[in-house]
Amino acid sequence: MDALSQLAVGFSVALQPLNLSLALGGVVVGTVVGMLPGIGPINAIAMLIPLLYAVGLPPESSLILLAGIYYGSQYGNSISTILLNVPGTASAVVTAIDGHQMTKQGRGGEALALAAVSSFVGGTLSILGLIFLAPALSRWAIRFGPAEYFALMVFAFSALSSVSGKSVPRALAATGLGLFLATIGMDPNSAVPRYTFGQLRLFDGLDFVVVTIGLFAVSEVLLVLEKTEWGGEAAARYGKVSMKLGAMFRSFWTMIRGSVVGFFVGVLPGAGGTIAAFLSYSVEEKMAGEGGRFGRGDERGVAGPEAANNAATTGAMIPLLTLGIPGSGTTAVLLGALLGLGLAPGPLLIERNPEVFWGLAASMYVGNVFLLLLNLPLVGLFVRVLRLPRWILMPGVAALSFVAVYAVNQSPFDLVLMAGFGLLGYGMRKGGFPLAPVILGLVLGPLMEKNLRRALALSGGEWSVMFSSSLAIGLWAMAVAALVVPWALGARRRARALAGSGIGAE
Amino acid sequence: MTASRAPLIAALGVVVAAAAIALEATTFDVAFPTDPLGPKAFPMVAAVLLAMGGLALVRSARADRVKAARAEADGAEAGVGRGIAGADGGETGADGPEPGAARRIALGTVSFVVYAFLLAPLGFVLATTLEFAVLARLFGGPTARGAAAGLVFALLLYALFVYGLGLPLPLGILEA
Repeated sequence: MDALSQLAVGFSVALQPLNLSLALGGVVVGTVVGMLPGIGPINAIAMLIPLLYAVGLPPESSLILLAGIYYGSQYGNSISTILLNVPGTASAVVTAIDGHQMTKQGRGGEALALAAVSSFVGGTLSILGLIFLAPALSRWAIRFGPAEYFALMVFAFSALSSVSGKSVPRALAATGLGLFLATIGMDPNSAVPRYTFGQLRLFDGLDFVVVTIGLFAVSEVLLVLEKTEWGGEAAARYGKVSMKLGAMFRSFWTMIRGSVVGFFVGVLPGAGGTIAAFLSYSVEEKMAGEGGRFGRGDERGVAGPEAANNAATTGAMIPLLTLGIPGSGTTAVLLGALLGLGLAPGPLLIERNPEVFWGLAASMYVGNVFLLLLNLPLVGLFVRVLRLPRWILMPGVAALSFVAVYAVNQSPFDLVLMAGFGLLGYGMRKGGFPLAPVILGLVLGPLMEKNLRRALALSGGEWSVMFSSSLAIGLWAMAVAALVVPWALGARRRARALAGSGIGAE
Repeated sequence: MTASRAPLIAALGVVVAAAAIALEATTFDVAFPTDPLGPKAFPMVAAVLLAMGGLALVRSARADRVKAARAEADGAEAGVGRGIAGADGGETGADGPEPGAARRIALGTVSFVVYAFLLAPLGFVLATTLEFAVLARLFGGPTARGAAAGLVFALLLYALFVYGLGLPLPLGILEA
């Protein structure tokens, strides 16, 4: 098998001491930020980007670290969900239903072990999907021209808008804001300055690290300032974290189904871990029928969603790497990081940078093994982090934000911008506006504009070029369907939709 | 109690922003066009998206206010009072902010900006310690221990950035 021999090459990259330690570091950071409510992988990745640029790691090593944070966060998020009933990230919301019930029944340790094992199954099975589907998708996408790319990006936005919040108008406005922010600075084609108001430091445009940290991390600090009391009961007692073989065996097919569902949902732009977990939960609940104890501490209510949200993160890497199209806030930040590192994710990535793709795939196996070890015997260490008082934790997050933003350009002006975006992000969260489309717009905006202008330049200004191939028409149809179908199913969707936290990113 | 004005104001803000963006975009003139689309079109797309979203939100916010006013009129007799006032769009609902939240958030934001201006003159370590202590206090923590934690954290970050990663951080008045 071609893929398997390539994977062997990948392991030779992943097993280098530097990359091994970066994978370990990434999954540890991922577990911690996934566990802490509000501080998600998106913040951690954004804060690390300036450091990565400064250190000058090879691109594959940087990606191994950043991806480790991303999939590691899907392990960590179940810890606070199960113990405190506070989901670490949005994709763990469903796990709370039965996971926290198990804790209340004194089976918290069992739930933690089950979540770790299911996460491992979902995380590793989905890598198989990655190594077979990603090269195939690359070969298909190689025919994409500027018009197809533009349509594909529109599809990514409409898919994200239709699922990332409860309100399409808010998602539209957030997308518009992101695209607008992307236009700030010197227009690369005509050298006209746009929205710079004569400020020289805006000529290079807004740095997406500054915007991301402001919108997500700083606004989170402000949001937590609303309440002075620590909401959680400082980590409930969870008993012994041990694998009950019987429970693992009973949940075996649940984990497999969750992995498959999660993987394919993850590949779709916009959907991601949260939808994957909800879908897996409802599948299991239906299949169990009368025999289920869902909502009252059913093991399958933990196993399915946890396998699914981990598989979804792997699935989400596929459009990111092979098309260069992120489907969520976190993958948008990853794309921004890769572009900054001089890698251009797209159909040619696997061919041109095999060490990056196969090294990443292999390191994800290694990282998942690390995560299993971290989350089974060492889970107690992480629970201690949950006990940190918030008057240390939140100022710490703020200080990390400052230093990361300052490191981008060594400019205090960026810190003022960051504070402004923090306030904007806070207001958007309060108003129920999703934040992920803003980041997606900021990262994809320049690419969209470039492709649109290139397509029209090639056609001499003829708009029909946007619909000239059946591929482009198909993508436009998908973009429209992504907005219209959920709206048509509105009532049904809204009932189930994401707990509407306004966070919108996984 | 009437429905909050905030959603309507936010929606109008989005519409005004869209108009401002579009207006400014009309000034992006190019002497020698290099492509048929030019620099105006894409900002216009952004403005149109903002305007569409904003106008839809204005409509729904006004509908909510009418509904809430009606509910209040009905509720006044039945004594239901608050009714669906809080049920509009995005408010966090059940567990809203504590009293004093607006003040803490304003102080927090101001402290970020002040930090940006103090960073160069005071230096990273002092400015960060100070900001950490202020934030720790806003979060209801003990001031002295907040400052101590801030100092430790600032020193760790300084060591990591300057000696570990070779990224410059201002030394400020400690330079002497």
